This record gives sequence, C-alpha cells and structure tokens, in this order.
Amino acid sequence: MNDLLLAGVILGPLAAALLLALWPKLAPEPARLLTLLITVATFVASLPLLATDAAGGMTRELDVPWIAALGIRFHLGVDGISAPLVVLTTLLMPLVVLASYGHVHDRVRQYCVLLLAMEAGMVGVFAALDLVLFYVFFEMSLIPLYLLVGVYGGARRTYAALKFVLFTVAGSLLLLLGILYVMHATGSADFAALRRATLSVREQAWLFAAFAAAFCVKVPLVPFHTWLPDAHVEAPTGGSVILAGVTLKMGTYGLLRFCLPLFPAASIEHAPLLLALAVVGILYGALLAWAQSDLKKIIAYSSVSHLGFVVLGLFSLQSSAATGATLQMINHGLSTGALFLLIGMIYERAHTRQLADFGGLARTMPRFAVCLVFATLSSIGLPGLNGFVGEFLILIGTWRDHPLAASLASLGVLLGAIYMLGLVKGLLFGPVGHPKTATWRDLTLREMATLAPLFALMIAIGFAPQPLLSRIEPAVERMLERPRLALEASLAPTAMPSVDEGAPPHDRAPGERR
Amino acid sequence: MNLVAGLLLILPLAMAALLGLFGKRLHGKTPGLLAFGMAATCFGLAVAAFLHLRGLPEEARFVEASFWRWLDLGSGDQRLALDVGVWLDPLSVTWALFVTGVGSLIFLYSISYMEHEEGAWRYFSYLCLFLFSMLILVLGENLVLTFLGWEGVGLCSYLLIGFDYGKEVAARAGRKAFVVNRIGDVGFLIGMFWTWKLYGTLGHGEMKPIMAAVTAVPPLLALGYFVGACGKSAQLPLFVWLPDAMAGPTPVSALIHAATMVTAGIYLVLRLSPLFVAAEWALDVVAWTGAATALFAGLIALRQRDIKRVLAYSTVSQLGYMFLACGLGAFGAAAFHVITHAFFKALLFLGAGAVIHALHGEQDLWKMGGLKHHLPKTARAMTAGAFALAGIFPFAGFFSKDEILGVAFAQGYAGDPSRYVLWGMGVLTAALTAFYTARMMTLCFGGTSRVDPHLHPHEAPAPMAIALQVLMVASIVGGAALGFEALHWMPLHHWIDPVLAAPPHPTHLPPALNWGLMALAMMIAVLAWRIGAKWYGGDFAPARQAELTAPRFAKLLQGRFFVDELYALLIVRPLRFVAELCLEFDRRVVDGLFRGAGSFSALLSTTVRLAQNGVVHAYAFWMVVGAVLLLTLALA
Amino acid sequence: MVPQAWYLLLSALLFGLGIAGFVARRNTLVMFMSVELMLNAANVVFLAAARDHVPARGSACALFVIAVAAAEVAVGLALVLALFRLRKSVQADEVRELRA
Repeated sequence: MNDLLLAGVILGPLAAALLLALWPKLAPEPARLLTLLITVATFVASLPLLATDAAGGMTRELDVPWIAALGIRFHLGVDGISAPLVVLTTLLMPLVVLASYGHVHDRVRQYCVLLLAMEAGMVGVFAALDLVLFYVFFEMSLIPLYLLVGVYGGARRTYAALKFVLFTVAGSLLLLLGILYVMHATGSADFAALRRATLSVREQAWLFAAFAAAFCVKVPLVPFHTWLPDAHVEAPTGGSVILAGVTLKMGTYGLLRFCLPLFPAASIEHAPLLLALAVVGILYGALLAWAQSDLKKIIAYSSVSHLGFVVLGLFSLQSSAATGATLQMINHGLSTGALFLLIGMIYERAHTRQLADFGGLARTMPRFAVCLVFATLSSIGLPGLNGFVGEFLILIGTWRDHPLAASLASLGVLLGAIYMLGLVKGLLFGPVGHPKTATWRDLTLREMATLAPLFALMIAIGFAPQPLLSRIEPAVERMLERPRLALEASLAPTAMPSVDEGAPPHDRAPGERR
Repeated sequence: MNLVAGLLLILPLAMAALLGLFGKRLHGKTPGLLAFGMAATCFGLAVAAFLHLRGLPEEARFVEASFWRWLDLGSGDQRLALDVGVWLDPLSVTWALFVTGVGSLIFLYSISYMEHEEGAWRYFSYLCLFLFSMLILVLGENLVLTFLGWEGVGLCSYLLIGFDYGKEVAARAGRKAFVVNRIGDVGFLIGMFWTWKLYGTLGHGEMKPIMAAVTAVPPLLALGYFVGACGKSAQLPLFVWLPDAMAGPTPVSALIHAATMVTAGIYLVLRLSPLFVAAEWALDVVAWTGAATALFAGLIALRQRDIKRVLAYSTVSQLGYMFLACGLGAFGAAAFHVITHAFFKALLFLGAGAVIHALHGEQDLWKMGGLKHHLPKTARAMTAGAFALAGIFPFAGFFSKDEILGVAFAQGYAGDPSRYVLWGMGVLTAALTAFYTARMMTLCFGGTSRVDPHLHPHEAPAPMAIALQVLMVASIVGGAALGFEALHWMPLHHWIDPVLAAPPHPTHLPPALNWGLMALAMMIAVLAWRIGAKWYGGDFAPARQAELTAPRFAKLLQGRFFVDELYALLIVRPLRFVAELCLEFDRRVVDGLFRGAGSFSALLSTTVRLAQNGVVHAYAFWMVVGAVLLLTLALA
Repeated sequence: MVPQAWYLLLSALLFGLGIAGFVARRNTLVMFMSVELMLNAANVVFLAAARDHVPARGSACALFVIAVAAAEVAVGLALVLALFRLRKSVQADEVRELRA
C-alpha cells in the first residue's frame, strides 16, 4: 500500500535544496550542474507514475499519520489527472535549469535552491490527497516563486512579486478558511473521505466560493488576471516558464480535483457563471494579447485566453470536454513553456522585448525561426500538434450542451491566429528591425536541446494522444460523477431535497467502452 | 490497398521532413528532383488506388484503412472515436489523382524555376508538406483528419506565400491568408461539433449510411461547413486573401492557389452533399453565393494590370461557377469543372510564370506585349489554356462550364424562374471571362513590344517546357475525354456520381434546347474574345488611355471594389479599436480596482500610524485615559 | 491600629504622584522614579491587605513586585545609559523617531 516513489519525487528535490542552501562554499557552476543532474534524476524517477490505474483510482499511495491530534495525514497519490501534471513539472525543471545558463549569472546557487524547493512544492500540490497537506504545498510553491521574481527579475520586480504574492495569498487565505471549515464539519481532511461526505447546499455554496476564489486567482480567470502580465514581464525566463507551465495549472487542477467532486451542488449552480467568465477570458485575453507590444505580455495574455478554454471544458461537465481540458493543461505547459524559453533566448541577445524592435530574424536566425513557428503553431492549435487535440475536445464537448459558449470560444481560436501570427511576422519577417540583428547568433546546441523535448511531445500528443487520454479520462470521469448526479437530480421533475444523496460507490467500474 | 494508402501519406511527409532537416546540404537541382520523384510516385500510387476501385462493383467501391486510434473518449451516444486512417472512394481518389498528377507537373516545373533561388530546399520541403496535407484532406478517414489537412494546406500556403522572408508584402499576405482561412475554419469546426451532436460520428465510413437516410438537416449546420468552404475556396465575402496570395512564387500560385487547395471547399461540399441537399435553403445560399462571386470576380479581373492578379480573380470567378453547380445540385458537374479548371489554370499560371521568369520578375501587363515572337512555345501553350478558360469549343473548360449553365437553365425551364437569373449571371460571367482572358493574352503576347529594352526574353528551360506541354494537352482534350453531356458521354459522372447526393432538381434539357444553348454560349464566348482581342490588339496607346481615364464604375473595378478597404474600415479597425479599448479598460479599471484596494489599505494604515508618534508622554497619557475609562466602566 | 482606609489613601496619593510625575516630567530618570512610586503604591495596598487577611500571600506579592521593579530598573537604567551615550541627553521628548 505505502509506496515511497511519490515521497521520493517530492523529498528528493527538497533534500537537495536544503543541501545546496547549507553548502555556501559550493561554486556556482558545480551547483548548477548538480541541480541539473538532480532534476533529470527526478524526472526519470517520476516516469513510472504514468502507469496509472485504468479505472481512474489513485495509485502509488502513501498514507501515514502526520499531525495525529488533528487527524491530518501525509497522504499522497496520483491518478490519471495528476500523474501527467507531475511529469510535466519534473520535465520542465531540467529545461529551466538548462535555460538558466543563458541568463542567470549571479547567485546561481540560491537560484538552484529556489528551483528545487519549487519543484518539491509543485509536485506536492498535484500529489497531495489531504487538504491540509495540499494547502501546505500550495503555499510552499509560492514563496520560492516570489523570490525568483523578486530577486532575479527585471526592473519592476519588487512591484510584480508583491502583487503576485498579495493576489495569491488573498485567495489562499479563503482556501485555508474553507479547509478549516470542511475539517470542522466533516471531521476529516482526507480527500477520499471527503468525496463521500455530505455538506448542505448552503455550506457547499460558501465553501465553493472560498475554494474557487483561491483557484481562480491562480488560473487566472478574468477579472483576477492582472497580476499575471506583471509577474511574467518581470520574472526571469525560468520563472516565466514555471509560472505559465505549472503554477497556473494548480488553479485549474484545484477546480477539477476539489471544487467539482467536493461541492457538486454548488458546482452545477455556479457552472454558468464560470462558463461565462471562461468565455469572457478567452476573448478578452486574446484581444488584450493582440493589443500588446511586449513579447512576454503577448504570451501572458494568451495564457489567460488558453486557460479560459480549460475552465470552459471543466465546467461544461461533459466527459470529452473535461478530458480535453486536462490534456490542455499539459499542452499549455508545453507550448507556452517553449514560447517563453524562445523569448528568453532572444532577449538574452537583444536585451529588448518590444515587438517593434525586431524584424527579419528568419534570415539571420533560421533555427530560431523554425522553433518559434513550431511553438506558435502548437499554441494556436494547428491540427496534428498537441494544442488542437485539447481545444477540439473542449469545444466539441462543450458544444453539446452549451452551443453559444462553444461558438464564442471558437472565435478565440481565430483571434489566437491573429495575435500569434502577428508576433511571428513582427519577429521573423519583413525588413531587419534591430541594427545589431546580424551579430546575434542562431540558437546554440544547448538551446536546441532545451527545446527539443517539448517539440517531440507536441508532435507525439498531436498524432497519438490516446495513450494519454485513456489515462486521463477515467480519472476525470470520477471527478465528474457527483456533479453529474447533482445535475440530474436538479433537472429531475421531482427535485430531491438533498442533491448529495447519490454519492457513488467508490470502486465502481467506469463506463463500459471500447 | 492499406499499404498504397499509407504510402500515399507517408511519402510526402517523410520527404518534407527529410528536405526540411537535411535539405540545406543538398545543392542545385537535387532537392527538386527528389521531391518530383516523390510526387510522381504518389501519382503512381493514386493510379493504383484508382485501378483497384475500378475493379470493384459499383456499390462496394470504397476502402477504409485505419492505421491507429487517434482519439476514443466517452461512451454511449457521447462516444467520440476517431481513427487515423484513409477513406478511399471514387470522390477521394479522383481528387487524389488530379492533385498528385497536376502536382507532379508543378513540382517538375519548379525544379528549373527555383534552381537559382536561395533556399530552394525549404521551398520543396513546404511543397511536400503541402502535398501531404492535401492528400490527408482528401483521403482522411474522418472529418477531423480532413480538417487536419484543411489547416495543413492553409499553413503551407502561409509559409509559401511568405517564402521570400524580406518582403513585407508577402509576410502580410501570408498572414492575411491564414487568418481569413481561419474565419472559415470556425465555421467548419462548428459544423463538425453539430454533426457529432446529431449523428454521433465524424467518420466518412460511418456517416455514409447516416447521410443516405437523413431527411432534414438544420440549414445552419450545412452553412457552417459552407462558411469553411468559402474561406478555403475564396468565395464572397472571404475571397480577399487569394489575390494577395499571389505574392508567393508563381508555381505555388499554380499549385495551391489555383489547381488544388482552393478546390478543397468544393470537395467538402461534395463530400457532405447529402447534408446540403437535406438542409432546406442551404443549397440556395450556395448557388447564389457562387453565382455572385463568379460575376463579381469576373468584373474585377477586367481591369487588373498584374498578370497574376488577373489569373487570381479568374480563379475566384471559376470557383464561383463550381459552387453555383453545387448549389444547383449538379455535384458531378462541379467535380468536372474542378478537374478541367485544374488543368487549364495550372497551365495558365505556369505559363505566366514562364513569362515572368523570362522578363526577370516583371508582372505588369502594360510592360509586356509582342512576346509571342520571343516565347512561341509558351504562347502556344497559354493560348490553349486561355481558350479553355474562355470556354471555347473543344477546349476543356467548354464542356464543364457548359454543363453547369445547362443545369441552371434546365431548372429554370422546369419552372423555377429564379434559376434563369442564375443562368444569366453565369452567361454574363462567361462573356466577361472570354473578354478579360483575351485582354490578358493580347496584352502579353500580341501587339507591339513594350518590354524594357534591356531585357532579352528567352524560352523556358526543358523541365518547365515539358510541364507546360503536358498541361496543354490536358487542357485541350481533358474536357471531351471526361464528359460531354449532350452526347451522353459521361465517364466521370458514371464514376463519381454514385458517391454524391442525387440532384434535388431536374438537370436535363431537351436535346434541341441543349444544343441551341451550347451554340449560344459558344457564340458569346467567341464574340467577347474577338472584342477583347481587337480592343487591345492594335496600338496600345488608346487602350491605355481608356483604362487611365476610366469612368467611375471602371475605377471601382481597378480598385477591386475596395473590398479590402471596406474590411479594414468595418472589421479590422473597429476590432483593433476594441482591443485597444480593452487594454485601457484592463489597465485602468480592472487593475485599477485592485491597485485601488491596495492604496486604500495603505491609506488606512498611514492614518492609524499617526498615533504611533514616538512621544512617550503621549503614550502614557493615553494609557492613563484608557485605564480611567476601563475603571469607570468596571465600577459603573 | 491605623485604619485600612488610611493605607489606601496613602497608596492612592503615591500612585497619583507617580502618574503625574510620569506624564509631566521629561527627564527619563525622573520618569523611572515615578514608575517606582506607582509600583510601591501597589505594594502599600498589598501589605495593608496582608495585614488584615492572609499575611504570607500579600507579602509574597509585594516581594514579587520589588523583584520586578528591580529587574525593570536594571534594564531601564541600561537603556537610559545607552541613550545618554548616543544623544548626550536623557530628555524623553528628544527621542521620538521610531526608526534607527
């Protein structure tokens, strides 16, 4: 029963972070190399997690008492939703370390400490099956990112880092209150137990609001998104990659993992609101991205738009759409990660991020051009690459019950092409924009190696997403079971007084298929 | 057959990857030769597939080959299962045949055309990728694979239009093409969403019996697909990208923007023809859009100076004919016109390319003239293509165009007067077509030379010439060989009609009327040609003067009805304005609200902080006051 | 036997003097002495109560107060000394900025 692999994936980087922190005499470059090795080892160690339970249950569980007096347990485990996210995290980390060779030259060891601590926190968020443990990891991943932005960031880094932390903490305090209430009301903080717990509709409404507040700030859903562009613009490349690639997913993951199954009645009640916010986010984010002139801001706002798709898919409560939404979390991590890496690479050369300063790079930096076009195509959902599969599933699933929302969201696909191709055109084509363009080297071998794993996955998921989808789907099905029952109950002519009666048997086989 | 189908897709993709990754090390003609060899092999494979299907009985003429499972989600009526596979039937194989056939010739032509161009390997890599996308569009086992190809060809078109990195115009045109196509793609997507909701599948094989049984389809569903078709096939109002796409290399214009990609919209409508037939007024929308586009683009083509733009607008116009045929329910006739058009339009573009090549990039018709003395072979080949375009007997275009007009008239004759209007628009367009084609040919090859005297035009090298000759033959005999309705010689129809919806309206005319109309159409075409040739054939000065001092309507034509400007004014700029507005709103209101919350708490703490002034006596005083108060309260 | 009220009156007088001194005087040393006065006013109450009720308990409390007062003086005088070294002055109203 108790499997130590997950604990190893979390505690390994944490121990390494402590070691590096307490070893001040270690020179910068060996520290970086050591970090690279540790992150690669963590990635390799996390791969077996992908062998998830075909029925959608938890695997690799570790369940030991932690704070016995309060009934809080150190309970870890992954299913088809969290395992891919954990692997995405462990995959991005070595790439971030590789990328840091280009732009982090001071306080390298401390940078590595922060990265490793973040990794532990982020993996923990996706693996925690106890609300308090989840909260601990949720906050634990916040502080290193705060320092990453605040210490290694650009000119307005203090402002951006503070804004980021204030937004997130404001949300997560509500989350903490919610968790305390849940523990008080049900006597447990364990996810498995809570899935069977019944809370009154009124309680659910308040708790949903508290949880959703924390997660929606993190996603970020309009109108809580204004911290994101500032944080991205000021963050160093690695910070941006982690922020977009993993941190934002904590929000959507929380919505899927906690809001939907724990507060089903409130979820269906608030679904229209969240769908509306998601659609607004898709279109509004896209329009904002189009109006930007700073490369990083364009990508930052495009994230607002893309995460809108994820929320749309989740709250359509339709199996294909929610599965697609989960896949889209991974996709967004890959494509946006690649885009931020690329922008970081060009920034290291040009020391500017204004679109107007560039032009004609296709001739002088062909490798960069190919990579940028490729990442862009993934981001705008070209069929055959990963982004399309997610978006398509989200939209086709959502269309069944919410044709208007899906149709409007489809326009986001169109706007995506407009602003992303605008970025490509501004950077690569036309006359040479920057007087020093000719002196910039094309991408080096190290930089190509940083991008290559992402591109390989983009193609693989584009052409054969089924292996991943077949893992995600049963787990997502389980998360949707209770909201669906609640929905059916609310639609039934003789509405039942409590929509929570139909808590499903835990080990029910997923729907017959194939 | 699975192997053949698989190779048809894998070969172009592998070649694209090969040239893209390693092409830089290949020199001279090598990339072109490799690509051409691949394309010719694909043509051979397509022929093999064709022969295989020919050998099957009519009702069993399909092959479904599935390679691997792409997606499989949900259960029951919410199941969404899609394979990566191939669907071969007469329709898809027909398309595969002319795509690879005409494609091979254009590849061959490109070998010489791109020989001295920097980055030819890149060009051929894109071309291979295009061939892959086009083939998967046509052969894909389900609508989503068709969509994959659909966007894929759009991407290749984008890359190839912008092939010349440095040209700002080309980059703009490429982006415009992609974005306008995406507007259509949204329609295609919505059509797919709806189809899946109603019928639970998107596979061509599974949809075949469903479509055969379907009786009523929401018209908007069909129109969703039609919007997609309008984007790809450059119909009103989404045609604006095609003329701009001429910024790409000329063989690309021939391959993508005339012969193959732009017919994808027709393919989609044909593929889903039963849905369109069952969708009440959807077909009428198709017919009127097609006729209006044909006329509109024909008018614009009258006054264009750029030879490629003339051809581009004529392509838009001919595509209008094809949609007109679809809208009339004459789906076979539409397919027929697609094929003949592929022959003669590819020929015309390649010929134009030879001319441009000979003149070192000059595309302005006003700076040509008298070229038949310098380029006799090209002139001969292009004349055949021009006659076919103008619809002059016995060239290819005559047969297919006449069949479409015949159907329109037949439906009017059968009692629907509005169809006479469609017929009239078609005939008028035919006259315009003959006129502008004659103008183009005369300005280019006839009359006296206006060519820059420093240039010495010379005939194109062998590969280009061979491609032109083959296409010339196809443009002459391609029509008669595939069908002549009046003589009941219709091999193409016999082959392809079983997989298309039966026409909802009558399509046949009494023979006497049919021959009479044919003679009329022929007379009109010849007359219009003669006028055009005479007008522009003599001294150029008066013709130029006439075009320069044009009346208001002609100015409108020269300005292409200012559609681009209209779009900019009505859509692009307002949208951009909204985006800027959103930015201001986001900065001032949304972010302002949060920053306001921050400032408010800062203000609050500043106020409270005033009490902490550091004066010990004040602290003591307030302490005493507090103690006294507490004491009073406790005692009271 | 002196009535208890007299003790309490004395204590109140001492306490009032202490408060007045603490609030009115600017010299930190004098302020300290005022604090001592107040503490001892409390002591007087303790001891008066001890005499009439439980002697040991009241005396113990008084001893505690004396100990605390001694500790306080030790720290306080050290602070005053430090202040004097820094500022060459022991006037309380001259030391009003809270930051270093």
